[in-house]
Amino acid sequence: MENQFERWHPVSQLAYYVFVFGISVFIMHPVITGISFISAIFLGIVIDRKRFLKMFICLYIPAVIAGIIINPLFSHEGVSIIWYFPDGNPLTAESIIYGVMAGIMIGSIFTFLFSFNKVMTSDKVMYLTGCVLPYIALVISMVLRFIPEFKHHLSEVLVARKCIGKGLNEKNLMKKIRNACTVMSIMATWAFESSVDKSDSMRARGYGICRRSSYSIFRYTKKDIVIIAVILAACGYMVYAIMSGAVYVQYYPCFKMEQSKIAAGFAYFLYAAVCILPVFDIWMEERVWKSLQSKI
Amino acid sequence: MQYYIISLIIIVLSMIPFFLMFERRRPQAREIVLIAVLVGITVLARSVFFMIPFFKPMLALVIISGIGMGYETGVLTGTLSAFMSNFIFGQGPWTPWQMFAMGMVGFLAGIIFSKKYTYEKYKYVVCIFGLIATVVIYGVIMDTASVLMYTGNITVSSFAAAYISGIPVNIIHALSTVLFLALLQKSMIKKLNRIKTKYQI
Repeated sequence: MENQFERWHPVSQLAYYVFVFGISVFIMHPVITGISFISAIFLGIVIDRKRFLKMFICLYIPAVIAGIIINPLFSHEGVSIIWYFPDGNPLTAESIIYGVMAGIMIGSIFTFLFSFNKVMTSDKVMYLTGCVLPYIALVISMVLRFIPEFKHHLSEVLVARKCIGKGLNEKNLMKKIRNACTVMSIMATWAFESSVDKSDSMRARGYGICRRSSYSIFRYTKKDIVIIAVILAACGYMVYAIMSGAVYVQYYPCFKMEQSKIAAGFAYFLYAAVCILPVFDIWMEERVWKSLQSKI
Repeated sequence: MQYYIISLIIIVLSMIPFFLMFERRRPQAREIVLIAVLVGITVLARSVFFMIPFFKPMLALVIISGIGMGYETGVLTGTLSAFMSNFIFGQGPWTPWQMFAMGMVGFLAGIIFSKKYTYEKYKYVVCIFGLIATVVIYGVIMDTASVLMYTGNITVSSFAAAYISGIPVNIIHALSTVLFLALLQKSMIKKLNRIKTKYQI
């Protein structure tokens, strides 16, 4: 079932993801990156627990570890030297810190991408593209229809080819590829021919006579307006925080964090609030549902 | 990471003119459907061959559509098929880079060959173009992107490491592109030309 976050308007979902991706890529700051990572994990768990945990352990943790290991091997900047590699290059504390931060940042991007792939389905992307580039959106919507149609036709062609002894389960790899290419060519002929039919049918129904209208199932609610306003405000403040140096971190040659406590604290709070917004929404919905259930 | 953002903005900006050009022209229904079919076939081809790692026919098909239909269709087929196939294989920070790289290959194929292409004269040239384009354009762009995405420290050694470790992948990819170009070039371009002359696109 769709959860509350998936029911947001695509524009507010896009705003959310642009904001979190932008901030977590642009600011590599221990607290900010930590907030991104933790809230991305929460979001993943809330959206699809089983698949997320599987992906998290098998893919994301190794990515984080790879990020942590790679940096000290390539970067030898920094003043606090811990050890010397056999080839004489130093291992520095700063490069380790930077590596850990980079690893967590990559991890948080991958973790956000998990929910992004779940939430931003192709119909929403089509809707968003349609607002700006209507013709491209039309092509995208056609492709979305063609892929299953072609797949269906492909399976028919494969069966027919198999009947005449030219299937794809050949031992010889070269022969297999050649057979596959013939199948591709068959598919292309059929697809081109049917494309002409389709476009003629479009023209017969009056394509291009006047402006195209498009149906969309999405509606702005009051919640969406609030969400977008909050995200814009947070965005504005974060830009201010970056410009004023409140969230500035220096990694090389020595690790140094800016000390202006209030401005930075407010930035952390605002960022965390926005990051956790979808999780909070889903959680609130569950609570309301449960409390209503107990009343019945 | 600032490098990643800046380069991302640059590549996105460089793709926008092609989309706007397409929008401005108010394309005919036939053209739209034909581009959608080309993208559909390319995406399908990727999912047919996805069992063999890095053995992708996508670039070959993008080059063919660039040659057959001109650079504009080449760019659109390249960018859109990279974008659409990632709905099946997963979107990520690599998506814009793939779109850009494949669009570039389609663009160059269209610019170089589309006017004067004949099979007899250019069949080997196109295969060599496919080889070079896969390694030099697609391979280098994607390896650069992976440095910018995963390490963030822009040094000669990290780029060298990425390019060297990318060599085997790029070679398999380039060989598959050449193989598919050799096998599909003649029949596909013939079909595209037939559609073009018969229905006057």
